[in-house]
Amino acid sequence: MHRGIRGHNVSRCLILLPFLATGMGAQQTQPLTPAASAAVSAQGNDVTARLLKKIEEMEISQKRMQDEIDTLKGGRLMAPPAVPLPAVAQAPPAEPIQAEVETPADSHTLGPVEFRGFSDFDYGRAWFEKQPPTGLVGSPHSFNVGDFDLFTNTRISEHWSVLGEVLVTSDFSNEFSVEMDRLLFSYKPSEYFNFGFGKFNTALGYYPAAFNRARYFQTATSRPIMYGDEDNGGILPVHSIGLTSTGKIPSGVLGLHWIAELLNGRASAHPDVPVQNFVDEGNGKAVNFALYAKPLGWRGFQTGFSVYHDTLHPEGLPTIGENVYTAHAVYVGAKLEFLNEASIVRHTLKGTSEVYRSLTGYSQLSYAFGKLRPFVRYDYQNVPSSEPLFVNIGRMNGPSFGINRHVSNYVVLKLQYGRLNQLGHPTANDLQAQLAFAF
Amino acid sequence: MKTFLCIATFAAATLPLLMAEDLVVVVNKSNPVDNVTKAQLQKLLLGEQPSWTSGKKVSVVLRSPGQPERSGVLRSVLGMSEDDFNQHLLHANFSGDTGGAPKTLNSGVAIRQLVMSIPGAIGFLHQSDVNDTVKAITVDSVAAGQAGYKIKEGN
Repeated sequence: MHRGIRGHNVSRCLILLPFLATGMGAQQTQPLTPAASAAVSAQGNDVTARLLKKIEEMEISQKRMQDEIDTLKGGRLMAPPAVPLPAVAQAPPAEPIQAEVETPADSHTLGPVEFRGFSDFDYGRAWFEKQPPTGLVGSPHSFNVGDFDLFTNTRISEHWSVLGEVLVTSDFSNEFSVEMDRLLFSYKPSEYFNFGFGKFNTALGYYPAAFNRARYFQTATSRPIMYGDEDNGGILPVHSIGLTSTGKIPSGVLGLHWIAELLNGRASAHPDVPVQNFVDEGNGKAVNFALYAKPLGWRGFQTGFSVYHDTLHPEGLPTIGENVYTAHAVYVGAKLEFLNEASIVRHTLKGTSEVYRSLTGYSQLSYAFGKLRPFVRYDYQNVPSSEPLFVNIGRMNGPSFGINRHVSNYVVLKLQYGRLNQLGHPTANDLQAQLAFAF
Repeated sequence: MKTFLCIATFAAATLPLLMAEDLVVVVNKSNPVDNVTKAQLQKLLLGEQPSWTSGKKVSVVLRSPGQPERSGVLRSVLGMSEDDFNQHLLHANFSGDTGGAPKTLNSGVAIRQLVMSIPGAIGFLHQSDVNDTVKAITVDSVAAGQAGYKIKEGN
């Protein structure tokens, strides 16, 4: 059918061209002045050009129709042209795209799986990261490879999708390890109710959901102290395995969203493996509820809070009730970025009157001048010295500032200086350089 | 002479913007929508509104990168460059969004045909590419060609 239509167009052109040539020839036999001759010649060229253009437009149109027919037949629209595109269509070729034609087959078709990668190469490393039990032997001012982050977010049918993120990571121990950071299967029947299960970032605030482990997206060289990994000195249960659901709340301009999660919670008896997978220390599950607003009239602004509850069973200690209250207010515009988050972790030893409150938070401000984005951040974390679970963390706080510059579309160079005061430790000054990239 | 140069420079800088052709927002004829706000257009382009009120899945169709129609839409609606838009799509995907990038096609005719074929499709066309196979809608109650219309092609 495709070739038939094209052949029809070509044959119509072949029929027209002799007439055109004859007409032009007939005109040329008339005695004409040079000016009139030039005018006639120009007119003839113009007609030819218009005819050729018309033919080319018809071929493009016909090709698109054929593509559509292919789409309707196979549920796919692929760009490779059946005929060479004519000169007038020498715009960059369309990338192969998946048709969203709502055919019954679409909901049963596996789409192409696309992986993205994120990584970074650094000089220097944040001092607040977890150090070996014996302390740091040697200098942290070394060249180092950051996380190698392999990521996919793929729709497997109309309402189902899978998000996977695998990290190859290293730390002050110099050892590399592989870690499943996220694996989330999602069912998204509507914007008011989405459901997912797997391993994911607990909905505690803004930063983990927005940036997770990819330093490429982060303005600074690393996450705030507040969102340090559980196995890297962090006090928040930032990763969880369980069920999560989210959706919009019909709220007009307020743009409210809800999140509810049922989770294994974190391990307290074996803090080296804090995210519980096959074995849960208790039958009870952790729960987390969050509410946040993205006002329609203020694009880029988001504010919200969350309440997390778990019961921990540490060895040699009474059962501990854990509540985590988190609040955030952020604005992320094209130029201005202003992030503010804070959490209170409250531990209550059951059967006693002992209550421990740890506070952690940060504020980060940056502004883009073209591709250059200077930034400043202040981290603060205060864990009571007698806190039964967070041992030897204490208080740490300090400013950091630097610049972030896109050196190409997917390469960012960052330079950062930080100063960290830690109770009971000498003040640390930290200079870092980072080249973060996406591929 | 200096005044003349200033006026000429100003004119050279602003005339292309003033002369830029309006781009008509078109949807499938079965779509009951007749008007969208610029804020709604932003949500549609950024993948933040996955479906129309009728329940049909939104499919945004744009010209290929580098074409003035595409850069005009990105700039007029989102205030973004092509690079900014790509960064946004990459980040949105990383954050768990599966809305996907807008479809890209090489010509206005192809966009018109796709909008004609897909019930939830929305595209942007030159007025000369619009015919009765698709439905032209207004933006903030202003039609293309009228004073105050904001969706224009660009470079």
